[in-house]
Amino acid sequence: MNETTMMREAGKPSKQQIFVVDDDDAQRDSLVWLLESHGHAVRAFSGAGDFLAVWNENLAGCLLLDVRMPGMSGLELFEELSRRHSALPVILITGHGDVAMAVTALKKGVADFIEKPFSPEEMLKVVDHCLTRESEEREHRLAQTDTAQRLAKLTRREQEVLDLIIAGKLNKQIADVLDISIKTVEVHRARLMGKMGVTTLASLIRRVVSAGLREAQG
Amino acid sequence: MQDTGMVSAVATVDSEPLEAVLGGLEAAVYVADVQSGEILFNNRAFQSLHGGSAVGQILRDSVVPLPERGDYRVDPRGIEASNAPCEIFDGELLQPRTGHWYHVREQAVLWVDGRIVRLGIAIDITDRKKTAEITRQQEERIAHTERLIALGEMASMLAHELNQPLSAIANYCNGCVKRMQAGASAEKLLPTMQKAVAQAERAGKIIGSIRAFVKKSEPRRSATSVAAILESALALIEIDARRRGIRLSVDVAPGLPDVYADQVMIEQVLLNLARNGFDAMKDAPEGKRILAVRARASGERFVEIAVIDRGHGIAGGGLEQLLQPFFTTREEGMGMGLPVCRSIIEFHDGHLTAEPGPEGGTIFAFTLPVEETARE
Repeated sequence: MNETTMMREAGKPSKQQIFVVDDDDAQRDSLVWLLESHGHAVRAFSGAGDFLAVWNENLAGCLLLDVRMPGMSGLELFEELSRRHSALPVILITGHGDVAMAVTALKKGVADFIEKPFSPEEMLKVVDHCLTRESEEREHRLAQTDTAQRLAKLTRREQEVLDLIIAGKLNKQIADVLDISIKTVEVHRARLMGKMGVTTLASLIRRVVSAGLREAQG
Repeated sequence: MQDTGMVSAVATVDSEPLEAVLGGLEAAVYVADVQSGEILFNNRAFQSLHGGSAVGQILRDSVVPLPERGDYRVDPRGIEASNAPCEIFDGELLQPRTGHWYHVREQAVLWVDGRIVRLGIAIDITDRKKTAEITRQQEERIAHTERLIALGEMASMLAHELNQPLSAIANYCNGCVKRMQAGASAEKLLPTMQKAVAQAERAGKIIGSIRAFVKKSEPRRSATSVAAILESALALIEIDARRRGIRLSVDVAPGLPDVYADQVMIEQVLLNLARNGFDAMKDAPEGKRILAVRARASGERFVEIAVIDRGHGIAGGGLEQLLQPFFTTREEGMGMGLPVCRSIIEFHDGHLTAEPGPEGGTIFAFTLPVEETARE
């Protein structure tokens, strides 16, 4: 049983959390209530520092940040998370007249922004969209890591065989190129399929190529 | 020669130096018969304006602007020899044909032949006037901009402050609705509904603090004479009226009691109402361009001041809307003038009303409390 399938089976919302960071008590408390009412798991923080204290790269879900906060602003927290290579999508809550700033933030990689006053429906839609994307991206990332780990377990010979398989060579041609018997090629091939966790040629190629690791290989 | 006096000196031998003095003046000097208006004398400056000597011609057809009949302090035609010399006019006038402004002073004097004549001096003040007008326009523009900035800041602050409680209310309520749909009990929702109520109260307090902020510029009220208010307001209004070719008619009931008011603020109201009236009469025919200002007692406890124009008036429903912010019949402007007037008057415990006038146009009337009334 590998990690990727585990994540897939776990389903999106159960592991995902929404992290609310807002210094305004009412705003924060009401957001938690709203999101929980709609079935989300929520954790709230009254400042950027509190959130950074619990942050780790395994957090899943998304971040709701108020732009205007004393101390570290929402935008500054976003920048700090970028430095830490955080993959959590960030939704900025902006106030009156912050739109220009929000556009800049979008260019810097903020997932979305929502302008106050917002309707709860609008907020929920943005959050749902972000969660879906985050889940897809995380799955893709996990698959990538998984594939990389599997590739690392291949022997040099198995890697050579894999390269030739992906290059479209038949067993016979591979045997000629590597100057080994067809039988030996078949053995390597069976072993590397097992190590990569695939049973067909198609799924082997899809896994290696879609993970974007083909170049790293060659 | 010694005992013949000034008047005969003009007529006799020694007129040469006098002519030289008059000819050297930049001001146009003229003498005309009060009855016929025939020009009896004009100096060099007058002639160069007129394009030659105007002696023998009628003054009203000449190059110098003259006051309207009603604008004379005294009707020059009725002046007795015993009352001369006396001033009959002193003011700024526009010569519509040339677009030049003149400061005109006229005196009724005894002429050499014993009849009453008008001796006038007209100084071209067009340049000064233009400078003053530009300054005034700039000041108005600055004041307007400042008001817009202040309004914008206020609106932005309001929006930001109100966003927090309003979005919290929306969030709380939306969550409650969702949970009720899922069958949550009332007890479970109660604390959240109470939080929403608290947020609504918070929003109310924000509005209240803004009201308090606005009140900080509290006016200073004191016993003020209606005549004093009118006098200083009319000084400004008159200039505007003359510039726009509008006649003023002022009617103040005698023996009005003092009012309890901030003189400067009430002057602002009067100025504003007068300007409105002027604007309304922009396209009115010459004879109808009259703005009336009337002050009279309204019961024992109030004085009513009315500004009456004969302009286009305001269509039916417009009158009620008129005192609301942002309503304006003008193509430009914010429509803030009248609501501000109303706020000022209501602060004074008075009322500002607008109703159609009997001769077309609009009557804007406001009341101010009599000093003793307000003290009680």
